[in-house]
Amino acid sequence: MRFLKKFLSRPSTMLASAVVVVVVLLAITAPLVSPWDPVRVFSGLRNAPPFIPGHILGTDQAGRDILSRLIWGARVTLVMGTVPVVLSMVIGTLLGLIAAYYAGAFDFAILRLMEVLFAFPLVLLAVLAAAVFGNGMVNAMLAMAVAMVPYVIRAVYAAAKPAMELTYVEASIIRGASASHVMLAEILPSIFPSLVVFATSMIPLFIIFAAGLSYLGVAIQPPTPEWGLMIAEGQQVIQVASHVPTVPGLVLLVVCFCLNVVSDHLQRELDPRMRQRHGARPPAGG
Amino acid sequence: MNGSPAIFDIRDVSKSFPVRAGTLRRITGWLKAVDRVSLSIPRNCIVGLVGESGSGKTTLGRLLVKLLEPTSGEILFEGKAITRLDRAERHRFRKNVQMLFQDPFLSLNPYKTVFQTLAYPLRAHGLAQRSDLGRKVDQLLDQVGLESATANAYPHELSGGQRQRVSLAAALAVEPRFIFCDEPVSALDMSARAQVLNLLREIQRKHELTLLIVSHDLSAIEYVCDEASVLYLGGIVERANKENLFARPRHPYTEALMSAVPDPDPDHQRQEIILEGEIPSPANPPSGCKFHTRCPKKIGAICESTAPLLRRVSAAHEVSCHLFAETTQQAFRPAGAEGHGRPSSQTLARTNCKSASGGRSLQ
Amino acid sequence: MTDQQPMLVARDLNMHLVFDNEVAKVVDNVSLVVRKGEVLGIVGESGSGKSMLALSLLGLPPQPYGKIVGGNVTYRGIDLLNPASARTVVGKRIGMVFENPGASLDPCYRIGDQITETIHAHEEIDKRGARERAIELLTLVGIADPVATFSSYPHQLSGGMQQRTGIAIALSGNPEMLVADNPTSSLDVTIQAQIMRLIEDLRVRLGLTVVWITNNMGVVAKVCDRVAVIYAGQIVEYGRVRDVLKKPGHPYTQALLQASPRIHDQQPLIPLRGNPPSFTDLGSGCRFAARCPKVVARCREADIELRALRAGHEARCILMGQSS
Repeated sequence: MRFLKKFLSRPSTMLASAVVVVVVLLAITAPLVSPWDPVRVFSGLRNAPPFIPGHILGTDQAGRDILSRLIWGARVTLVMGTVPVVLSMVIGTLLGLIAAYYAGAFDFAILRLMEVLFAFPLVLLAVLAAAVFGNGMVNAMLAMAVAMVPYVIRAVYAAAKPAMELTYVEASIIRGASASHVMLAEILPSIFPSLVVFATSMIPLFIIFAAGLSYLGVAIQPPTPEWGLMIAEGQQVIQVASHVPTVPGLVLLVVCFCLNVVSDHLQRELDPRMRQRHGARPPAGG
Repeated sequence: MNGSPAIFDIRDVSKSFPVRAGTLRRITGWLKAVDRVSLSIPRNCIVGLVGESGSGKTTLGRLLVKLLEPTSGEILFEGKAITRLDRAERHRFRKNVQMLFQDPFLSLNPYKTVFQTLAYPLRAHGLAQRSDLGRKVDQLLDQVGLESATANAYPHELSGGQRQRVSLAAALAVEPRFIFCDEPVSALDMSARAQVLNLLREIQRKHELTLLIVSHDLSAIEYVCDEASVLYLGGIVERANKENLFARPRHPYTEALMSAVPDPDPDHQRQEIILEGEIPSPANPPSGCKFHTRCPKKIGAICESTAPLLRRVSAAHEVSCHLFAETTQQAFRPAGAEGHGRPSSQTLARTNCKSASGGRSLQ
Repeated sequence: MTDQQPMLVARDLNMHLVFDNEVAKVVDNVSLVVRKGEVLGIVGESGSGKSMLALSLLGLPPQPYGKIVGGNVTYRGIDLLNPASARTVVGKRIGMVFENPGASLDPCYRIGDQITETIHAHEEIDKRGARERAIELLTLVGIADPVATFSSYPHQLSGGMQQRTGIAIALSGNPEMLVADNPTSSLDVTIQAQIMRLIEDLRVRLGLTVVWITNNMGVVAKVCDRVAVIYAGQIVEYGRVRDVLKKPGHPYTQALLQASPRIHDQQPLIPLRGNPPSFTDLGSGCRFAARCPKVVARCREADIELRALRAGHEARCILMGQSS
């Protein structure tokens, strides 16, 4: 609790966290708060500008309410941003721990394999993976997770390798701890904060990533609302109704920015505290 | 007479580390941390390794507990070479051979309670059932003089001395036969130091334990050990039982080391032997006898050209120094080795090793 | 054979570390006199406050929490608690040698630059002169190849050589007094002996007064003329080394002596029960009462003052004079 208090002590963090929380809540309660059905077409009201009665953000090129599509689209976007991160963190952490613990051949094999994947730009990798898995939200998420795994492994390996030299890790090995115990109960807790920070900084990246894939037509298909898709489709009418692609674009920008701020401040809070915890000595008077 | 076989047999062991330099991190040389050391560690004894930086004492200990592998030579534990163990044997080795670390603040997992730290090795070696864990943990804490309530504490809530005792309890948990103690009291204050030293003597006596204590603190070694070896730049320069080593040190380095320990009695200020110069780096050791660059009793060219052998100068006393070449009674030579190899030391005679059955004699 | 002239005089010095909701009284009513030419030892375990005391004596309470809240410190009459006047003394007329030489040397600059920087700060001198003086100092502290060392970086030197450099820097202002805070604790045993011998030689050659802070009674016995024993931020015993170490008045001093590492005449080690008190929670009465083997009810009643045991020897214990 004290941690939360300290974390939220800066106004910028409070604001950014509030934004994120609001967006998440809206996404969760979409059926309740959304004014309209996101795929409902209001014939005769295409490209309607914002602030007209009933449609505070206007309508898009097909005549659908933008606000509703934003709220429902939040679900898709947030899920597509978070699930692949979680998935790749789980897989990547395991592989990274294994590479750090076993060293030798494992180390070599896993890292060299990852280097092959690093050679490809992230988006290209995802597109290729999507080509293999096929279109659709689930497949897109799988593709993104796979593309992300090498980066996770690299981050985990970089943190876990020096952790192998920690005295208490050596002590555990000497007392006959199994490999899984050392990796999960000794090393993982010590690198956990940096992994949390890493993951939370990846979420906004993945949201953009997902939006980008949808933009490319790889992930989400119309009429499903998704922020990236809304931007892509709205591009066609940018001359006559600039709000159609711009509003989702701005929303995307703001949400990702706030997520970045939260992750940044999380890092600042977690890292020095961990360092302090390890080195702390109780004050004494003798 | 000490007739029991050695628990550890160290035969001509060397350990070198590569020295890398330059942008390409190429190997430019080798740092010989341990240089062809042979030593027998007798059962149920407290054995000391004394030395300063670069002596190789910590490296030697880490070789024994298999945190490192030797570059050459063999290490036998109870007669079996430890470099060639299969999985089951390695697990048994990890039960029999334990270590106590120098830094009490870093050697306990800060995320685990004392209970968790002690319980895991008990389960890992099948020494306690789930239901039994609480009782066994209490027993372990009692053995090291800690209350049962300590089990619920996290390491950062304990003092340095308490943490060190928890580490000792963790080492004892697996019922080992040998514990390597790496500078066990260097990081502790005066009171904790006294507690831990007394504790080490007590638990060695109570269980059938062999302890290897590595320290730069001569007084701790004298207080606890039955015999000790003095190391300099990766080699043993002197080895004797406690009485001989402290009353009649022979090697000039040992003499200098002892005279450097300041005595708290203002009336007992000894004649000092101050060594000139720095301790050479093990990556670039002097030729011949490695101590010749600082030795106040250097004979001459022979010290620069030839490394002296470890020779027995009396029962329970061996020295590696050209000054004693003439007083040799027996020079041991390893069976079938080259002429300039180091002899493997037998266990010293008249080292009083304490066992649970035998009585304890005061030194 | 000291001059009896007081150099550093501290009276009722109090230094507190002020945190958000707690105050740690790390230096509590300390009075000391350091006389010309003598070696004063300040001995205590780690955490006793001896390093804090050393800093406070120089008017340098540790930032950001340290505050000197009472008393005064003067050096030959100059007020050290006044930053303006202190600046003319600390670093120049009083040189400081620190515990961990590797930490007090800047790893990014060559040794020579670090010494000449201090020289330039203390006197008007040209670059060549400063370099010559630096090499002179390096020779004075027993460095074998001063010219090579001048051009080296700290990490290229061994611990012993780093500490010699630290001493050279401390001497660069031509000080009359040297304050050495545990200068040998991080060094190997044989190198410790070298450094102790060096400081003693310098003391004789340069006529220095030395304050030696340590946790080792052996060091006190070897190099000090008088000694102050610190426990929980207070001086608990003070006097000539021969008196304090052979006939200690305070039970803590007795315990420290009895537990001191020594070879040849080893005694059984008897640990003190309990732990040192926390600085934020000191209470009244004797601070050592919780651990003292000789404690009686009277000890906890009121704060104990320093009382004379004999001429020039005081201890903070009401049981003095009783058989131990």
